[in-house]
Amino acid sequence: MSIIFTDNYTVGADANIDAYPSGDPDYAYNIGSGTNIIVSGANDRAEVADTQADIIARISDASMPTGDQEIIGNICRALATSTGRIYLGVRWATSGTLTNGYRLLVDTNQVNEVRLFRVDAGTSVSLAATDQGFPNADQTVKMRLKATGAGATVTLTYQIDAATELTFNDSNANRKTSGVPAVGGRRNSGVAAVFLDDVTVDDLVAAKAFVPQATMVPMMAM
Amino acid sequence: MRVLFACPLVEEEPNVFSPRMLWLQNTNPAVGGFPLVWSTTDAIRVNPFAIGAAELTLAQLTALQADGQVILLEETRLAASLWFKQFKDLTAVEQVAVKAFCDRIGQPRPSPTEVLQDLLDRLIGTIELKNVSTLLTELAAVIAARL
Repeated sequence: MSIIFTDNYTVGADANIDAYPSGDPDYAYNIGSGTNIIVSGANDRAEVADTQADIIARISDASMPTGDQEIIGNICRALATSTGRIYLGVRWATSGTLTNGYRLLVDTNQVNEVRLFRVDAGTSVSLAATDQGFPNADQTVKMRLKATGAGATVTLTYQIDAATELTFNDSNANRKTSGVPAVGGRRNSGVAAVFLDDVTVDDLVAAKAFVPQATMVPMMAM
Repeated sequence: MRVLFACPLVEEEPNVFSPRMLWLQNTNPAVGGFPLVWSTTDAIRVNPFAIGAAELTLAQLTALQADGQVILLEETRLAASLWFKQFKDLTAVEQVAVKAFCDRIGQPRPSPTEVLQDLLDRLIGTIELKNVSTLLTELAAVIAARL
């Protein structure tokens, strides 16, 4: 396993996420635009604006894996309302119809608050929902979402904090077999800020074992 | 009790679809929470639907039956014959509901002697590679993950 990308969202002044970092952005919008997600200079975190719609920004850094991948991030606050939440995504499209991918969220306004969706050309369909006992209150949790497999079945593995890891096997014709990790969210007016911090991406490639090069030892003259 | 279910998808928010079974958990206090898993069609097709398994109390089963849009088959009745009961063994009400469901999703109605497990596997197979056994295994994992 190799962490190939980290982001603590540290900036001097507010920046739209698709212009951050300045000069060589690491993100591009799949759904949304402009200030929908900003990296806050005051708070050093990614914040979702009052968009009243689902927003997704893929991580466009050249190092992003397009096959097996895992994204981890701390999602913060406003979990207590169904109209304010943060998404972590995997396998989001990089070309063609960009509104395709998977997204995971925690919505403690729902009975089964951990929810996994597949987005097909902009339409989300619920794949799984479980009650893992998170209280209906604003909180910060660590969210993890992993996608593996590109054949007949795509396996999605997800975990919130230390709760039991869950898996979902997607063998639907619309399963997503390639794409890159993404972040996103939704926030309606009157909802406290929803934000994201400390994102890491793992390409799930096993680190190569260190093999020391053989040292040439000159033969001593006999 | 464990049940198998079939239900339409509901647009819970604009462009966000969920099985009616899940939607009822949040909108009908008499239903409330319970573990469930499902296979779903994509939401874009005509008459999108889901087929799944759930663990319910008797009160929840009654509340869901009252909704009228969810087909529920109790596993306890089916398990007595190891899933080899036939379509004609269902109650008249259940037979009518299953026929109507098949019509709605555009699948052939079961013959009287179609084995129920085969019927359910056939319907799930129109969505993806899973079958009843897969769903029940997934349900067990979800139940284990709940507090």
